[in-house]
Amino acid sequence: MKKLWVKEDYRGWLRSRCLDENHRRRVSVEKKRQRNRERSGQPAPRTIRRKDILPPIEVAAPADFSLVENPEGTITFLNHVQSAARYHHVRIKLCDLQALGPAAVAVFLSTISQPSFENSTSVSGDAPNNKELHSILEGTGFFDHVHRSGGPVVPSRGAGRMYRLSRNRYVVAETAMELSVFAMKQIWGEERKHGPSYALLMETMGNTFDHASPNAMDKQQWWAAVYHDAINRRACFTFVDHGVGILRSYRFLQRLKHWPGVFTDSGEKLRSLLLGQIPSRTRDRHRGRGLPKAYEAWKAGRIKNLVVIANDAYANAEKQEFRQLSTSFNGTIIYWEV
Amino acid sequence: MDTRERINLCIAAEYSKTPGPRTRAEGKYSAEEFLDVLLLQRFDEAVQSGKVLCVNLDGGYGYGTSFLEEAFGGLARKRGIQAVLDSIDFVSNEEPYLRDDVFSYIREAVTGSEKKK
Repeated sequence: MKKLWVKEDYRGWLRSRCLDENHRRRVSVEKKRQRNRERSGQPAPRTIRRKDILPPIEVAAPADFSLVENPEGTITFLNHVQSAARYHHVRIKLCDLQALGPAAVAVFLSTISQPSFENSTSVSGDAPNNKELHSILEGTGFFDHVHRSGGPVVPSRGAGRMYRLSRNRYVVAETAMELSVFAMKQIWGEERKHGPSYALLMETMGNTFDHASPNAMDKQQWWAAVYHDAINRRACFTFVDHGVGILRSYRFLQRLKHWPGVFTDSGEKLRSLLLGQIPSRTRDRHRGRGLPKAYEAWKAGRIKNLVVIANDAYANAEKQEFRQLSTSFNGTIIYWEV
Repeated sequence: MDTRERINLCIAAEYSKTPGPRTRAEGKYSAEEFLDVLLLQRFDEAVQSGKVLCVNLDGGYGYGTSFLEEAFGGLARKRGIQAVLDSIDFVSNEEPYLRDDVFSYIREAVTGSEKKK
């Protein structure tokens, strides 16, 4: 009998029998699907893609689209875009803008570039009617990352760059160097370095990668952007981290355990963090100096207009405004000017 | 004024113009690598020969707080705060405030456990 099993004609018969069984099984499943479709009266779900049946929705940006001046309105809009994009194709209305800040553009771009948007939802929009604001949008580098379908192209008022940070940690120093040198070149007309901005970019990027878990590294995105405002001769740096945010990070919550007092709101927490008053988890005085050093750099005048938004906390160093927002951003935004 | 001879160490020329993060795991040109590969060796050389190690911070694009802390605070944690303060000096003409910052990192380079003792 053993001889029979290894003979070529027996193996051939066995092969064709397997193929036939597979074919019959496939036909049976297909028949069952067809029968179910006829009974339900619904079209076959497999033939329709989710992105083809999502309805469109229009979301208007706030008139004052600026994270520095109108953090609540801007964050509410960004959260609305995110939630709307779960079940709709989103069309953003920017035509009625009265004010536009480069930080808002960076955070907006980082929001619509998240993987959940890229997979099934399309985001489209118009340009601001206000020529000046349109030129700011052109200058930020926003259109380097989105598809432009017609519409007028106006001369840009400044020059900007936006970087989506790679999951590869080894590019951090080069990115920080490029952004700071680019900003200085725009301001002074020649390549110069700016140590405080390089230091702050290194610190924020390093902290973000350091705090993110390996799983989160695959899902999260970080953006670093710089915009040179030619009229006001200032360079605006923005760093965006769509993670859990500093105030909800495990490390910060552990550090809070050593805090003897009670915080009345998140703004106060962020203020204490910026002033370097919250002790480190292990009481290592040499760790956790990033944000306090940024605040020191602002105090010493090496950077200007430092703004930090972490979850529902807002800190504006220039105005000495530390408060809790009525809405919450899922992540951290750090903005400063040179 | 310290009249001892000097051993020079220029970070931009001998290590990197783009100093990186705190640890090796976080990226290239890290403070941890700088400390192990270059700084410890030069510092020990300076101490043994009775000279002062003069670290030049100019020429680079900038220094993250964590780089300076891990490199020079780390040196103080390994060799002792007073020993480091006695045998090191810094040149930072481009960003003069860095010199004071680094000295403060060296002075505060104690861990919680050491402080409790």
